[in-house]
Amino acid sequence: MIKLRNVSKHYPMKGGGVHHVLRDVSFDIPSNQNIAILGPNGAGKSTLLRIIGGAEKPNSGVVETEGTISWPLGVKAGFQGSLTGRQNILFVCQINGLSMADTRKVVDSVYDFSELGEYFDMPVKTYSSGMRARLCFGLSVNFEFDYYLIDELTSVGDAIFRDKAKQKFEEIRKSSALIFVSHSMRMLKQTCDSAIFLNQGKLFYYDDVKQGIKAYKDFMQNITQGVRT
Amino acid sequence: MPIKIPEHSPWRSQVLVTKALLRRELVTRFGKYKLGAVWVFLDPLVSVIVIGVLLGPIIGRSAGDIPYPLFLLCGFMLLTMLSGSISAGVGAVGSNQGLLVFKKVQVFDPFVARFIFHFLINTSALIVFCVIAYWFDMNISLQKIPEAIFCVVITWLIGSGIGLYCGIAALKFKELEKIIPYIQRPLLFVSAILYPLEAMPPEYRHYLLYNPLVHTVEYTRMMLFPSYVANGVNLYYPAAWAIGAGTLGIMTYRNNRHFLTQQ
Repeated sequence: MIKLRNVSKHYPMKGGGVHHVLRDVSFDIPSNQNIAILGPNGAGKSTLLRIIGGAEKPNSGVVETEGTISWPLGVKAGFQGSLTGRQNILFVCQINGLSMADTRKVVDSVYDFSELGEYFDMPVKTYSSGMRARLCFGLSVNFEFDYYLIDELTSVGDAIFRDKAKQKFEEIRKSSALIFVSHSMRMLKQTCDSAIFLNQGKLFYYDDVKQGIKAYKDFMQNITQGVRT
Repeated sequence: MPIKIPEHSPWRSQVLVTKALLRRELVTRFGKYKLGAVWVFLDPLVSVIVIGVLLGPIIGRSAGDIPYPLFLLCGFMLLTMLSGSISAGVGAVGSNQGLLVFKKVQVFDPFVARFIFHFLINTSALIVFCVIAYWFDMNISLQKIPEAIFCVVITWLIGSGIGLYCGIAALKFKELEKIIPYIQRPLLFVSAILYPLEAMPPEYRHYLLYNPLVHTVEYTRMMLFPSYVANGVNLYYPAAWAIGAGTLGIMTYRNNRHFLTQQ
């Protein structure tokens, strides 16, 4: 269970205003479901994942977590550009105190899964977004997490990677919970059970992912209609 | 089969993260150069040779019976301890941003790792230089190496405290990244690096003694060269600076720790 208690998060803006991502949100994220996080661009979906993952602190309130949570798996975050793919993998193994044998196993497995070839020993800043996604995903499936935080990971990469990722998700979702940010509604319908709709600092929960997606689509339609009239 | 991440005590976890970050520093600092880690020794030597050739003939005699290059080297190593630590702090978060996504890597950790890294490479370089100078019978004594290292540690603590403070301040005000190197530049001339304190007119000496670096530089020379004299220097004054700077840095970190996790 991940518990958010009166969590608020806001950023100062250039003009002097404040952008609210979460306003006094209290919510329990169940551990037995795969949850889609929906919301318009800039609503704070990635920030919510970072707060759950512990990389970012809320301005007020507390986040209580139980069990192991992955770092937000996405294209942007998680790797240091000046290090090679291999060095980044080694870093993650080192901070988690893996044994030599386990480390070797992880490195080999990521090398095979990511199919980066020579790029595995090139700095990550030379990677395309698809290659980063392959490295990130290949690394994370080597560890056992109770929660996987996924930030648009599957929207990049080629068809082969997407198929592979889908297969892995099918495996993972049996034993762990996915918290999934994506703009691909088809992907969300396939993998998730329930949905959270995040908008203007508020959080709405839907038992059924289809309801959530419908609410989100209705909301987006209202906006576009509002713009037109 | 996926691996279950082993649980570690907070202290063990801290050690693991710091070690991983140290390795990361080692890779990116020297990995890109052909000469690699040799630059640890070449960097100060190049400064000494350039300045020594330019200024040696003019003010070299003021160093007494200490060979002027050795005199300079000693000053430079301590100056690097201070200004290098400050620079290390200013870039610490920016060059580790990608790694801060892991919950185990807190914003404080890249600072600590960089300061330790800076200390280790420069102290080992200083010791190697001292041993080489001793080997060639260059009027140096190794009896008081521990005291000399103590001076280095104090200088490093001052630099690390200021570096932590500046690193956090530079995240709030980007311009500081530009300004800090300029502010540091005069240190070369007001810290008794190029000339001994005794070579200054007595009426101006007490102004220089407000600079903690003058104390540690001159004290280190007194420890390494038995015949060297520097009046008015002590270790209490720079030690007070070290405590002050460390407190300032840690308090600034503590007060900004939530802001610092934002990208």
